[in-house]
Parts: sequence; structure tokens; C-alpha cells
Amino acid sequence: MILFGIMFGVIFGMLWECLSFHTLGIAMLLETVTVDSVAPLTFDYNTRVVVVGTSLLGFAGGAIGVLLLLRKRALIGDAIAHATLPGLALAFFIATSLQIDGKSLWVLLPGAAITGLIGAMTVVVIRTFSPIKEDAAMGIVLSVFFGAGIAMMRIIQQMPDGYAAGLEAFIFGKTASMRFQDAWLIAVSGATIIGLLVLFRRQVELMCFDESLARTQGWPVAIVDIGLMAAATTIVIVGLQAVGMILIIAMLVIPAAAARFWTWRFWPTIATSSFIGCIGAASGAIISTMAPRVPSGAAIVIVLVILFSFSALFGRKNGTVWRWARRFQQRRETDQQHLLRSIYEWLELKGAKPHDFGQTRSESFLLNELEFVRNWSPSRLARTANRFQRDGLLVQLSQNRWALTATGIQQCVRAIRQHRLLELYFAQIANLSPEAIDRGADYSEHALDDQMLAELERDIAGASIGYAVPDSLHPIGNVNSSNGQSRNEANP
Amino acid sequence: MQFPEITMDYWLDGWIIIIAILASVSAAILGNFLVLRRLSLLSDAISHSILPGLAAAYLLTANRYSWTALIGAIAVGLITVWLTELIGQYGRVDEGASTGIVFTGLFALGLIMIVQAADRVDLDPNCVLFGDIELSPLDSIETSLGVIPRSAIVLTVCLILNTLFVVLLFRLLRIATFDPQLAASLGVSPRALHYALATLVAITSVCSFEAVGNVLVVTMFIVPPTIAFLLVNRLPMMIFVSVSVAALAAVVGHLSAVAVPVMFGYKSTSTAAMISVVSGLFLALAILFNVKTGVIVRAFRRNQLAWAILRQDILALLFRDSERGQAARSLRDITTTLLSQSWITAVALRGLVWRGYVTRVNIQVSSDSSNSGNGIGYTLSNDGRRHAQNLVRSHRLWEQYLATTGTQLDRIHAQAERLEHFTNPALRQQLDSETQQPQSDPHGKAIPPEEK
Repeated sequence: MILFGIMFGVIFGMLWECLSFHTLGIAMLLETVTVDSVAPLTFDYNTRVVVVGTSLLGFAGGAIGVLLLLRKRALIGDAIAHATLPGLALAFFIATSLQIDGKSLWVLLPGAAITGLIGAMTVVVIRTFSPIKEDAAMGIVLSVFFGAGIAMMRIIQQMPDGYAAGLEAFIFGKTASMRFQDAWLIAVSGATIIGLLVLFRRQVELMCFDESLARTQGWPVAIVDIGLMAAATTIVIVGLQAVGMILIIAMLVIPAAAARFWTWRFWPTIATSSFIGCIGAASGAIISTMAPRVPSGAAIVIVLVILFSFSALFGRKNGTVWRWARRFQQRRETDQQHLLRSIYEWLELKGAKPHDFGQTRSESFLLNELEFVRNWSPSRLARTANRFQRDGLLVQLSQNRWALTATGIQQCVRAIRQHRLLELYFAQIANLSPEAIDRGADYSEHALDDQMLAELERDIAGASIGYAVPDSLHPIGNVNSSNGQSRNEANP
Repeated sequence: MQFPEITMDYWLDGWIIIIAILASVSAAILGNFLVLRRLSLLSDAISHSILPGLAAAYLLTANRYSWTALIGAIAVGLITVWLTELIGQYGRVDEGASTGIVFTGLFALGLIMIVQAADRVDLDPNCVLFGDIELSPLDSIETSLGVIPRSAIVLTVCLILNTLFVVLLFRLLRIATFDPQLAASLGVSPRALHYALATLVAITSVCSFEAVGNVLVVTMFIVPPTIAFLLVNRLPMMIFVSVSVAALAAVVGHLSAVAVPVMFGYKSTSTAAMISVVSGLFLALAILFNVKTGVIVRAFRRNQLAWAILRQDILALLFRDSERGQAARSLRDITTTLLSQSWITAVALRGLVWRGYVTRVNIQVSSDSSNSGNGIGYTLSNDGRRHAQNLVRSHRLWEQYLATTGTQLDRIHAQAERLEHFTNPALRQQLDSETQQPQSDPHGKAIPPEEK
């Protein structure tokens, strides 16, 4: 919340600086770094307006996007955006026939807002009063309204004197057409939306997570919902110029979805999403001013997608890299436990069970004869064994002959006890067959912590077990070799 | 406004209509399954995201129709579906949001590619959105059948492909659409089917790209099947209706694109856009007036009961009047007694007069001093009297019955007032015998005999 406020304050401040006292502040900052090598980084006044305007848009869009995402209404913005086209065309048409400047934003944006809201309401009406599902309703509104808009645009283009030139900017976005007052319009709308969001934070949060609770507590959910729709419409309308109606939905969806890879808590998500939206919009706008042939909407979306991909890869929550790392770690631990267990079983079969009292080193065993791990690749086996040697659990006596150290014996006994206690549990409680209990124990032994182990000792094995290792419930050699394949597949 | 003098070039307009029909019909056939499987937005996503595939193919071959374009579009279409699944799974967002990310990203990429290569490729970004069906007949080739526009040939192949897919896999598609669990247990992979549909959607989008662009093709995928969904119940019928609606919308769409702007003094507008508008209008009609769930039809049905009850209340009131010896009542009088509104009462009375249950008579209005004089009153006809007598008989039998069951006397009237409207002769017979054929109700009013 606080971070959120500060961020918005800074951006708003930047706008104020570069608009009112542009010889000071950010402008000064940019002047000071003016050397030839970074010449493209110093912008003229217009560019600064555009950049600050779009970054504000990205900020507000990111915040509202999270709410839409949580309400599972992310694509309603797309329907609204497409539905603005007939409004734009109609407003232009009416204004021109009344001899008013049809390209003034004061004419176009109210027109766009009206049909945009009509579009959003049509989705709700269709969904409520007919058996048509929401996805179809959105597709219908999106394409039919857009079709109506295109039909009108084609007629407008026939008007004399090239009146209509420039209206296309609203379809794909053209930051070059943004002016000083447009940036202010975005700033004021953004500030209003953020202000309302902070004012109604409790209601909004409750509604996003538990709508029925919000209802029973007497909050007017419908009104807050309509407010949310109005906010989304506002973002779409003021963003039309910068991003265009086809891609404005990205400003609402992508930052919010990217933020989900960083945090799952409500306000941090909103702050992260706003931050991502802000950065993406600003850099996209900068790119499109430097490369004038790139439509600004497309540039912003590409930057946002890059930010999203970065989040999806490196985000702390469910980011791909972390997920892989975790899976790799898990697999390594599983391998280690399996190796320890098969060492114990091998030694047990030879009548040389390791004891964790008084024995400083176990009898030696042959690594390549271990049952359970025998269809591991040699490198996997060697890797796991070598890691154990590094950690001081195993010692290598000769080429293939190894032995457990004192620590190794402890770990080994722990691993086999876990497995056999679980087998006992499955045999007693679930009454499974010997094969099934072995497999069941294989699946779940890696998740066993000390607490659960103690419970198993108490409830299943009884007080007599002490610290001893229970006997296996199934013949070790035969079962393992017949099941070796399937058990190895079971390893995650 | 004047009626337009439409001049049509039969070769040009004929081909435009044929191309429009081919595009709409191929999309509508597939659209049935998209709508039923709630995948409508898949068409939106794929039609947007094929753009980079197309742009890459244009850059490579500088040709609008090429195998490269087709393969590129299919590849990007499948990538869209795959990425959407992936993001939905790991990003913990719903399908709509993950779709939104993928298609905006790919569309932006395609847009940049097109703009960067604008000197080499004659592909206008605006044309991407709504196509250029008016110009497509001009790009034609000589065949043994005569000069045929290239896009007509491409779309015909696409239509055949879609039709074959639906016809050959019909049973499979039907099971997978309505009972995914059963389909899975029969060994049909829902994912394989999903990807197959996505492939065909990509092919259809790319074939109709030049004609209708990527936003308006969504109309063709979704709207005709939705109309059919509202009108009929069975899948084969739904497909048939959707195809017919699609063809009709294409024809009407082109005619209105030529005719409507002319009425306002402009030249013709975009055919593809007008097909979209016309389909939308058809859909609006279907939503309002379809027999099953139409908004207006339902409202009418709901109100019908209310009207019937009001009419019966009027009949019963007039019957009780006649028992008391009052011959007729004015409209105003009836309205105030029944706590109704005068226009509603008037409509109900008109209905009763039309049915011959009530007749108009002249009466002396004297109860209201300011409005005294002659007025129109309403009285029961013979037919009406029979109906009214049975109603009142039902009412009083119910009162008697409720009194014998021990209901408090001050409550029985209100209950009988409701029940009287839903009582048939058999039920009256039963009530009569249950209450030992009483002569009067608990209030002491005589129970009239049954009238046949």
C-alpha cells in the first residue's frame, strides 16, 4: 500500500515536473546526462509528455487489471475496446455535420465511452437474459460492434477534405498524436481511479476474494462491480490514443498476469502489476518514438510480453527456473534416499545389516549389484555415490567396492526405517498387497518429516519398536527385480 | 432520403457474394463446436495470432496465397493454444487472461513485422482487421471452368475440408462436446480434438483473411452458431441452421453494404463489416423472439398468467355484483375495487369483451358526483356467467374445505382467492364430496351449483 502510494506519487511528480517546470527536475536530470553516446536518451518536450502519459496509463491499467483478473473478467476490456469504434465514428460524424471539430478528444472520447459501456452492458445483458455463455457473448459484442464501427469508418472516409485522417490512430495507437492535455487527461483519470481504489480498498479486496461474504456483510457488490467496469472503460478510453483499441487489453491483462509470478498477496500484486505496467508502457512509448514506423501499441505490448516472459521464467512464485530448480533438488533427494535404501537391503540380504550403535563403518558392498538402482544410468549412480562421498556418507574402498561411514549408517537406517514404517502403515491401515505397499511407500516416503515419523512409530509399530528397523514385509530380491522397471518410472 | 438506385455489376457483386457465403459458411460449420464447447474466444485468439505467421510467409514468398502462409498460420495457431495452456497452468490465471496475453503478444509481433516490411508487401495494417472482400474478385485466375477469383477457390477447399472434418468425425465430435468424460473413456483424447479444432480454425482464418480480416471472422465463427443454438435443440439441425443463417447474412450483408449508405448519400461501405452488423441484428432478433428462451416471448408468457388471473378476478367480481343485484360496473369502479391500474383493467376488459364473456352497457354513474352522467358499464354475458359461477363456486368450496381443515377463518379468504384460479371441475367435484356437499360457505354465502 505504502509502496504503491509512493510509486504513484513519484510518477505524478514526474509529470508535474516535466509539464510545469520543465527546466527543473526530470528535464535537468536528462540534460545532465546529455553526452553524445546517450543522445537518444534525451527527449524533447513532446516525447517526455508521451512517455509520462503512457507510463501513468500503464500504472493505472496494471492496478485495475489485477482486479479484473481476480474477478475472471480479464477479456471484458477487449470487448469494451472494440466496442468504442462505432462510438468514435458516430461522434466524429455527428460533430462534423454540426460543424464542430470532429477530431477533438472532447468529442471523440465521450462517444467512445458511450458505445464502450453499451458494449460492456450488452455482454452482461446477453449473459443474464439468454442461455448464451459469457465467452460467446464477449466474442459477439467484440466483433459485431467492431463491424458496425468499420462500416461507419468506411463511410466517413468518403467525406471530403480528408477529414477522417487520424482516426486510424485509435485503432493501432499513435503516441505521436498525443498532446499535453492528453497526458493530463490520462493523469487525472489515472489518479481518480487509483484514489477510488484506495478509498474503497476494503470493499474491493473483499469482493475479489469472497463475493458471497461481501454480499452477506451488506456491501453493494453490484455497485462496486459497475465501478470496476467503469474504471476499466476509462482506462481503455484514455489509452486508445496511445495503444489503440486492438491491443489495449494487453495493458490490463499482461502486467496483472506477470505480477502473479512474483506474489500472491493482494496489495503487493497490485503494486507489482502497476510497476510492470508502468515500465512496459514507458519503454514501449520510448521505442516507438525512436523507431517511428513501429506502432506504439505494438511496441508497448512487445515490451510487456518480454517483462511477462521474464516474470514467468524468474518469478519467485512458480517461475519456471525456480520450478525446475526445485524439481531438480527433489529428484536429487529422492535418488539419494533410494540409493541408501538399496545399500541397506543389499547388506541385509548378505546378513551384514549396518547398526547405528557402535559401528563406525559398515561392511563393504558392491555398487553395481544394488537392486533398486540397477537400471539407473552409470553416470546417475556415480553422481549420487560421489555426492555421498563428498558429504562423508560413503567411502570408496576399491573400484566398485564401497562402505557406509558412521554418518552414512545413520542416514541409511533412517531412510529404510521411513520406508518400512510406511509399509507397515499401508499394510495395517489400508490393507494393501505387498507389491502395492512397496510402491505406496516409494511414493510417499520422501515427504515424511520427523513429526509424522514419530506418529508412525507410536501408532503403527508400537512401543516395542524402539529405534530398530522393522523387517521387510516382502522378499527383497525378487520383488524388487520384478518391479524394478515400474518403480523407477515412479520416481518423479 | 430516397430509395437507392443500386447498380450492380453482376460478375463483381456475384463473386463478392459467393466469396462471402463461402467464408461465412466454412467458419459457421466449425463455430458450432466452438460455441458448444465454450471456446468462442479461441477463434478471436487464433485469428489475431496468425498474423506473425502470415507476415513471415509474405516476407518469404511475397505472395498472398502460398503453402508457406498456410503452414505458418497453422504453426502459430497451435503455438497459441499451447502457450495459452501453459500460462494458464503455471501462471494461475483463468483461460481468458492467458488467451489475452498470447494473442496480443503475437498480434503485436505480426503488426511490427508488417509495418517494417511495408515497402515489400502490399498488406495494409487496416486491411488486416476487416479484409478487402471488394477487391478479392479482381485477383482471379483462368481455369477450365472460366475465370475464378483465387480466394473463391481457396475458400471452397477450406469449406470442403471443414465439412469433411465435421461429417467424418461427427459422432466423435458430438460425444466429445456433450459428454467429455464418456469420450475420454472411449479413448478420444480431448486434447487431440482441441488441437484439431484449433488447426482448422487457423486454416479457416487464414483462408478468409483476405476477404474478411481477423476481427470480423470472429463474427462468422460465433454469431450464426449462436443463433442456431437459440433456435434449435439438436446438433445436426443446429449445424444446418447455422449454415443457412451464415449464408443469408452474407447475402443480406453485401446487399445492405451496397444499399444502405446510398440512402444517406454516400457510396457503398465494407461488405465484411455489414455482414457482421447484419449477423448481429439477426442475433438480436433471435435473442428477443426465439420460441424457447426469447426475452420478449418469455416476458409475454409470464404476463399471460397475470392477465388470466386479472380477467378471472373481474368475472368473479361481476358475478358477486349480480348476486347482490347490481347490474353493471364502470371501468373506474372495477379498477379501484381490484386495486389495479385503469389501462391494465381496460386491456383485460377488452379481452373479456372479445371473448364474449362481458358485454358493454350504458349505466348511470352516480357514485362520483363530479363525474355523474351516462357512462359505459360492464356486465356478464351468459357465457361469462357460467365461467364466473364456477370460479365463485371454486372459491367458496375452498373456503369451506379450508374451514373444515381447521384453518383460521380470517385466513381462508386469502388462500381461496389464490386457489380458485387453479381449480378444475374434477377438483371441485372432489372438494364438494370432501366437504359433504355444503349449501353455503363459512361466511354464509350460498355456493352456486356447478355449470357445465
